[in-house]
Amino acid sequence: MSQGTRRVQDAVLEMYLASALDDSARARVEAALADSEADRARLAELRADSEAFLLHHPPAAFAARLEPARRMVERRWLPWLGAALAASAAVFGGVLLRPVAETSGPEYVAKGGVRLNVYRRGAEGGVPVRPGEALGKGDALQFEVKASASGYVAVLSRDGAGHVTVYYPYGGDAAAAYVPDQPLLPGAIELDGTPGTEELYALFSPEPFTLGAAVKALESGAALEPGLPATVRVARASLAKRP
Amino acid sequence: MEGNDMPERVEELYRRFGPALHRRALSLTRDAEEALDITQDTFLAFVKEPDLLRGEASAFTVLYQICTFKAVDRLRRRARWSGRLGELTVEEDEPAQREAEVASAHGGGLEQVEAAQDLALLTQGEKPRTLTAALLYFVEGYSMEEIGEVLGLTRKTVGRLLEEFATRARKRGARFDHGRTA
Repeated sequence: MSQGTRRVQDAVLEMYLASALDDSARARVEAALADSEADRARLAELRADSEAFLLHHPPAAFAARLEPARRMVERRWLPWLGAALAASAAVFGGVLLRPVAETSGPEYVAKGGVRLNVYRRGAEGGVPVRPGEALGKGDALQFEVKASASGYVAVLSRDGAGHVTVYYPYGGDAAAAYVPDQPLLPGAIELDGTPGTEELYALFSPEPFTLGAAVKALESGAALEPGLPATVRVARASLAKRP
Repeated sequence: MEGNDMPERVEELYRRFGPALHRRALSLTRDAEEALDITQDTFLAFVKEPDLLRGEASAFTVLYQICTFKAVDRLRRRARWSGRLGELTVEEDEPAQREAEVASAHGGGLEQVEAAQDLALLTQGEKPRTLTAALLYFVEGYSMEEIGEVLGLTRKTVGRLLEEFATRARKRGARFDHGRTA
């Protein structure tokens, strides 16, 4: 592309492409385009780039990714996770459990990394599950996944009897859209009465991925990572469930 | 807007403006992943405050300003003053097309990157509209007429915005220059 012979600036061409110019401005741009091969080439370049972008980042998926934020704005409050969260942090099953209030400042996670925090519904709000804390039937849990970038996330479980459940998106077969500033996953799960150690796995990837391979690996007791796409990162936690 | 209409509205806006906003963010950050985050943050701002698009400015103009503001904010976090931006002079009688290079979304060399980082430091605390106008004018070589087109303002208003900004920025810039030579 010849930059020197350009007559229309990029932002104006973008507006033209998006049909965001008024009639007179549009006519001016079209007159310039008629005389400028370089601008026509640039416009074609922008148009092709737009098509490729929308192909790689489809509008419906993008809107779905923002849906948790929209719901959060509507509710403005998390029913049982709030200011009552203590300021302490605890390491649990190799996973850092850090209580986070909705108004907390930004917390940074290493690029590509992922962290899983677990909260239990208490009398005065959500409390982080502590190391060795025994949980029982009916305890309600909510999950917080911390990742440094937007992407897709799922939380899976394998209980003491070897039964595998997709906790988030509940019962789903593919990871759900994720945005870093909404780390607390919507919804809560209620533990059943299966005793023993229940393993939790948070799976994160910048790309969409399905959960079939992960469920199959966990059901068979095989290692999780080999069957996952290379972009998927895993964080783990363990729950001790009393009989 | 009813909450139930929001996903469709976001999808529609994203389809129309998402690629342009991503290119805008990319042109400033030079990082595709970061640009994607900024694009998402831009729409998130709209989701959180739908009234943003109820003013006189067009949806493109509002989202473009938010996107530019967020991208410059990221630049600012890693910016070091280089002095590349040069003197902030607003030409009263500018030619129809300015001498500065026409910036492409993927073009612009190191000098433009450094100038953008300088401007990021100088625009801290400025409103998105002023910041966007300043970036387009002082770094990317847009004329006031062109800036007016993008921001939905008259040339006169753009000139006033730039003059006022330049006055504030010269003081800030002097402090940066002083710090560099001290």
